[in-house]
Amino acid sequence: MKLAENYSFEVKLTTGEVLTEGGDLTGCVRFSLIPNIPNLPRHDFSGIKMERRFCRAFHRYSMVTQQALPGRLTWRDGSDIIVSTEDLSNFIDVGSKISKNATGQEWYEVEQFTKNMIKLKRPYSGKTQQIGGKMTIKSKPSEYLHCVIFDNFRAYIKSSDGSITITPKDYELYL
Amino acid sequence: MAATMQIHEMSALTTGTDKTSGTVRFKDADNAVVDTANPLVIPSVGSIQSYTKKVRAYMEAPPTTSISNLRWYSDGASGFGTGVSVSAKNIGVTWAANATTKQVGGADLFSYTSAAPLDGDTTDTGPFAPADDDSYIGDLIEMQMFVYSTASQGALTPETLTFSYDEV
Repeated sequence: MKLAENYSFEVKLTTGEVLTEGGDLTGCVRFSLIPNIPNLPRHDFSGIKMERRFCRAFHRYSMVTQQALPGRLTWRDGSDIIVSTEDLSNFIDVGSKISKNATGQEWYEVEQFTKNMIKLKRPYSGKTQQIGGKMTIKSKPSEYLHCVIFDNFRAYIKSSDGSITITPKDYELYL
Repeated sequence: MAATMQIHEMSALTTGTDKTSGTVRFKDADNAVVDTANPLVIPSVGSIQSYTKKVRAYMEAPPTTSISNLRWYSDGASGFGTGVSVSAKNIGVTWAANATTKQVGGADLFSYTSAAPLDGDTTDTGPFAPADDDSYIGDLIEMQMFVYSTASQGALTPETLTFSYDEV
């Protein structure tokens, strides 16, 4: 699942109509961010005047070279699953590419991930590593923020973990 | 459905290689291949430049309503070490072939930060609509690496460029 799809939103209007598209929050009595995956918090805003909403996406890519993933990883020839001893969620994104090491090895694209597990787009082919080895990643994490502009402040909600940052109304948050 | 945006390393105004979550390597050759060929050689005096690199945003899948506010920035602190710098500028949508000619009018890439990002849609202005699906949007961002005689030999530590946009 793409980071941008971790949350869906719902806008309830004074008329009772419920919208799931658009940016105008005029007449909104409730704005909800509804998680599409487990362990993310739901957020509901109501009883306060809202003006508009948008999302802000951040893609990062590396110049020059790549970095090593933390912890020990195990993988198996023919399997598309890699297991880690460390929480990799701050290092990996869907679409990141990982490899056994930085030189001369094949790169595998990440299809899905949880804190301690990576699912590759295609099975790993090579020597099985059962006792835990190192891998390298070619990207840093991306992020996807939902922003709600209220009468006199903004709320930015991270799609990766559901955390909220409140800012002045005209503050443009870049991560 | 959220849009899918890609970052492409460009070889012409509307031709590029997808480098989303990938790597751009500054080198002494005009190609997007990430390898160890054509390294930048430290000069005995003065400085040399890499071939310029141009990146541009590509709309792979459309947004529900629009994409706008394209921005590019670094973490503000060069990890490339002494004697290595990167210059960057927005060149609009006028293509010029990548070259080792010294870039004019660029600013230090690391001066573009989350607090002061490089505007990426001043010429090809947004908002970009679902009708722009499968096309390049926004301006070309041109970068060039400078290597001075004071640089140290060896591979450099990685640096990250961030591309940001707003979506409705």
